[in-house]
Amino acid sequence: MIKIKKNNPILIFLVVFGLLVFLHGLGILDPLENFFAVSTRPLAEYFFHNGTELNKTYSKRQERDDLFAQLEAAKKELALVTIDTAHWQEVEEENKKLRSQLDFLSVNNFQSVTASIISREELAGASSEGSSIIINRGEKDGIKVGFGVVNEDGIIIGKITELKSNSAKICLTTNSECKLAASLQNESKTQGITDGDLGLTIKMSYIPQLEKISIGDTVITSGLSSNIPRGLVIGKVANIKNESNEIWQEASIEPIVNFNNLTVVSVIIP
Amino acid sequence: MLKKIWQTVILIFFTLFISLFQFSFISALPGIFGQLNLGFFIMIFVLFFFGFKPAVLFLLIYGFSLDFLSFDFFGFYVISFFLSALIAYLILHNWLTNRSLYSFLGLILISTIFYNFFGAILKYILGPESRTFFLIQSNFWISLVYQIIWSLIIAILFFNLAAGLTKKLKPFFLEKKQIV
Repeated sequence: MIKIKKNNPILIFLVVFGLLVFLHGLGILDPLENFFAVSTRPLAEYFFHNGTELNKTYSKRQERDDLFAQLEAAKKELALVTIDTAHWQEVEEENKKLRSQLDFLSVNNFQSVTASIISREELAGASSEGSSIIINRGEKDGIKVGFGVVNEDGIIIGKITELKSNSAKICLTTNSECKLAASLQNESKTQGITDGDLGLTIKMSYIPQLEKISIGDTVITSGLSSNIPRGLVIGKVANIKNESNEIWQEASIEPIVNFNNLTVVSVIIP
Repeated sequence: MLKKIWQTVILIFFTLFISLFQFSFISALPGIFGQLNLGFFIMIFVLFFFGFKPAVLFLLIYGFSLDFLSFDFFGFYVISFFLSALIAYLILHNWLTNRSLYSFLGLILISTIFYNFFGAILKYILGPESRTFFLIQSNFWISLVYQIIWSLIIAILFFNLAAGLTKKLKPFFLEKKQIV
């Protein structure tokens, strides 16, 4: 006869694990999970903020100080010019008022929920396939799966993929699972679909062969994705892959946001 | 009795603190620094020096708090940690004859590899259907190498620190014999 010790660690594990998974499945643990999420929120925000600051310091040290400063200034200027151009073109087409970048959300009459990032969801050993972040707002704040997320300049950084009561998971535009309906700001307003490429850049696929696209064209959301408005800047065309035997062409899009420096984002509620 | 209750409460809070630190702070760090798996390392440390039962208690609190916070399927972290701890315990119990620094390094190395494989297999089987097979993902191998490097560095630091702070661990070191 097999003897089972009362305080056998494997037995303790199986009982606790089975019980918690069972209670979680029934939803009985929801209040505890919500309490845990809400009570740890300030500390999580504090940790993430400091981690990001260290990240920024590390990035800065990797390059020469003045070169870095010049690059940052140029990037900022480029981002502002890109958004400005994108906004003007949209305004011309739709006969709407000019959008200011600083008060992007209010001028566009978008409702939004401002949220702090609490984790990058790339925990060591979790074998993450792409880039994702977790924010401290969730279902309770009116957020739904598929809503677009922008940074403080109004540049789209991703969309909501999963929800909990008090938190939400966002796939970044560089994530291979983050697909967005996109449009180029060229003469023919070429349409396509963007998704992430190795977590580093964005690629735009399903561009018809006959469409004329060029390096430097701005890519914006086309408005065909449900819950994501038209005109949000995704990035700029950096490279074009065009082979005569293929039906579609492909473009590499360079994001104009440094995803490592994000701490606060806005979820657009259409 | 009261002292024991206080010790348990402090240990629970310490474990929760570590899980939050891993979840929010370490995940925000750049490149190789973001691959530090502190909670997993502490679990193996506890297993090596204090036994299997304290390690199981630690992984239950640590794993479930990560399961509450993250968006992986519920139980992912607890199962991965438990399977790795079980493998580490079997290796420690059956193969490692002494508790030297070299045994500790070996145990950390093997259990880190097992943990990554268990995690990837679980995610591949139970995660979204669109997932690419982990063995052909460069991310998986890069993350594994970084974690091994971190685990070995921290193992050496912790082991020497622990040996310096407490006499309990002194006998684990191999003493140099003086040549007459």
